[in-house]
Amino acid sequence: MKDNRVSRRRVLKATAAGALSAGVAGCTDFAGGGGEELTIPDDPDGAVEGMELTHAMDEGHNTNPFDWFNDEIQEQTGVSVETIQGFPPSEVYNSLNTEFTTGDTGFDLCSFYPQYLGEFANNGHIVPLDDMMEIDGWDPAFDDLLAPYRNMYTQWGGNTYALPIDGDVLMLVYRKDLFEQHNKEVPTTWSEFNEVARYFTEETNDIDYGVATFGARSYAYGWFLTRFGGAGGIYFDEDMNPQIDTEAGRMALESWAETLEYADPNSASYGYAGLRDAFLNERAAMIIQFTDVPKKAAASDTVSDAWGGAPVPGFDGMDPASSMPVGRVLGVSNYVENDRKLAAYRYAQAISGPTFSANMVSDPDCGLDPYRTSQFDNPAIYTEPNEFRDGQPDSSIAFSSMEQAEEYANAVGATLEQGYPIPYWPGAQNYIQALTIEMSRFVSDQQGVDQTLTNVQDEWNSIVDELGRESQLEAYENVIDAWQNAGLWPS
Amino acid sequence: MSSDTKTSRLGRVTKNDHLEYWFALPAILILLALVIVPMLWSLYVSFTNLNLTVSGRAVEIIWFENYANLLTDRRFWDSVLKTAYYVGVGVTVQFIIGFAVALIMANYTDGWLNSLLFTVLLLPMMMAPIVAGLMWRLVFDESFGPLNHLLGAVGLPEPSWLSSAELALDAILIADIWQWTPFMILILYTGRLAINEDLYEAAKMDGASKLFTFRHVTVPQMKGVIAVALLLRSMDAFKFFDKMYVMTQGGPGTASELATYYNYILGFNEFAMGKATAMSWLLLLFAVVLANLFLLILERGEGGDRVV
Repeated sequence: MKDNRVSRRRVLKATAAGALSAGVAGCTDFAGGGGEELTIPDDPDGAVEGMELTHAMDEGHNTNPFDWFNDEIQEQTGVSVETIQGFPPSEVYNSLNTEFTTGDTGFDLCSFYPQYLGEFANNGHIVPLDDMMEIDGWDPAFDDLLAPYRNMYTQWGGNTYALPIDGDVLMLVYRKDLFEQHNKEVPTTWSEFNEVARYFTEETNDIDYGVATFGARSYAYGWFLTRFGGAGGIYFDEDMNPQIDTEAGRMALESWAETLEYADPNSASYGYAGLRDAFLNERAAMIIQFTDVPKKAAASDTVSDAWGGAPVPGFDGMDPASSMPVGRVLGVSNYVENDRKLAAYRYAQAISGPTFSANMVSDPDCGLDPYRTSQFDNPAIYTEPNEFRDGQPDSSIAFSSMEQAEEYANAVGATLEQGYPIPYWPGAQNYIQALTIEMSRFVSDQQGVDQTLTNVQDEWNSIVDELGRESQLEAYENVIDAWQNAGLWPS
Repeated sequence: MSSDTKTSRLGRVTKNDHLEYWFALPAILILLALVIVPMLWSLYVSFTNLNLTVSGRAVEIIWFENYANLLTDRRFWDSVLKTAYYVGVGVTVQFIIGFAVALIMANYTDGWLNSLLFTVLLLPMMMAPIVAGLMWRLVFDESFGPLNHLLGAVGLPEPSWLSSAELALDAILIADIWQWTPFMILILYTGRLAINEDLYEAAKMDGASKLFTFRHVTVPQMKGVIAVALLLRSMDAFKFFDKMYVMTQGGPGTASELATYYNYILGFNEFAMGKATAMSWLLLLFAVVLANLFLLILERGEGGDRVV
């Protein structure tokens, strides 16, 4: 008689084999690597007609323009944004990259910080836009872009991969009324900056503190790089050895340490909103902040007529530098169908273009900042309402007078001329992460100047080794060419 | 089909000595597919240099390099020590307060008062941890928070709760103690009610003091419940993430960065999957060793009886 019984061993063996093969089959493809190559149809306008997109971006006030302009863009291009897939600003990289690495994104269009551009482009996650830019009527008006955005934050490997919608750079925002009242000049050097900070903190009762600074992990690196660049610092030498633990790094941190002696003690936890509010709520007489803060100040109940803007200071006898963290560009996912890629570009081209962007960067109800020449040549846009918002409310007017508008445009323009670019080659995120955590530790007094410089130096060396010294050097040299073309890096 | 045929088939099947394995097969398959295979896969990844930010690089087996790098990583040990502090202090305080309140409720209050107390005490536990974190972030806000407002009103210093490297982790601890002490109360209260009142009667007749009764009746009788409560809370605290994420995101600097958050950063910020999975395995190892040590200590402390 045949024994029909199944042994325990056979059951377990069959089960394990089946499950293992299923698991391995699902796990062997590690990264995306890009979708199908883009093709341009004979009638691109017809191909995108009626398309409804999903757009992924950081949530908050910067989603507003995609609401304000949506109907008009749909009328002009046939394309609209149906859904915004939002995530916290500090999760932009994690969220986008997690979807990209699966090779199947739920979004067609995405907004991200330029520091991720090289990696996303190099890994084939976003589409080169050059062919679409040649389509009749789909020109992104690059001639009107400021050099950093034309030559740097939209380009990788000789191709255009992104269109800008935000031109962030750090600037000095100060209480003009208090400075005048106490006969204080706007500081042009870091030593003057620290002296003014000391004065308002220690010698007056008109305001709580002379200064507040950014300390949260998200972008603390930008506040370091502003001083580091002003001290003549560069990221790496010709052998890809980190150049943080140098005289420039020391100057930057020692100067920052002195600032912290007079700073709002809550600075260590201040991110964008905390630092902005320290100024708007009259806790600090001056801050270094992103260029949208004057617009927020002008719209506030507290300091609407009391703010002033200026380029960030420098070190004695040296050229000042303003780091350019954040900023936002639009990229098209490589993992969607051909016509959706076309539609996503078409929408990006429209919203990034001169007409919509002028209304966007001048509206204080979002945090997007100027990046086109026309937005500096014509400061009157900052005194006019957003023509695409229902009822054109007064709250969409940035400044009540041409004097304020001109001061803003001049200060931001001058700041951009001394811009200090941030890393954006593949792997840049690793350097920035390591740098910003050490800077946050420094601001919160967990470590001093020497320890901070040593830690960053060591960690950057480890990252170079981990990612490959030769490939990193090649990528770094490529971006230096772009920086030099933008006039933001020494030849 | 005749009923005889059905019976004979059923008979053949039920005669199978290993029928239980066939019944267990679906569960085994699901377990393998959803737990065992991913775990084995993650073990494999932990021995590789897989990094999702680097395209075109062949994935190589580097054996224990990720583990070695972590074990010599200052930030890793820093996060593990902070986790140990968080689990140790947090669970201990929750247990002490929870035990005290549970005994008071069991011995001194009853009826409507207990119902009211339960309703009030269970409210924090019913709140989503993210919401609790956001609420406590507002409470601790240095500029506008009600806590500093009250402290200032009575002339006390107004600390920078979430901006201070010394206080940030403790602020999160306070929020967690607030939320999870009721869990301890609930478990320990029911454990106390399960003790036979005759034991207390007997102790009373023998003239035992309250402290003696507590040490030799209450605690031994509740040993199993105490062990379960401590283990559950310790395991939960070990994988703590949400409130820290919304209150400080590990900051300022790395002052409140627990091991789970550093692991998250490695995996989903640096996309260094080899290193991240290696860290997950190390944390699992720590948790298993600690849990067993904990149980061993409890068993030895009471003459070797099994507590769970």
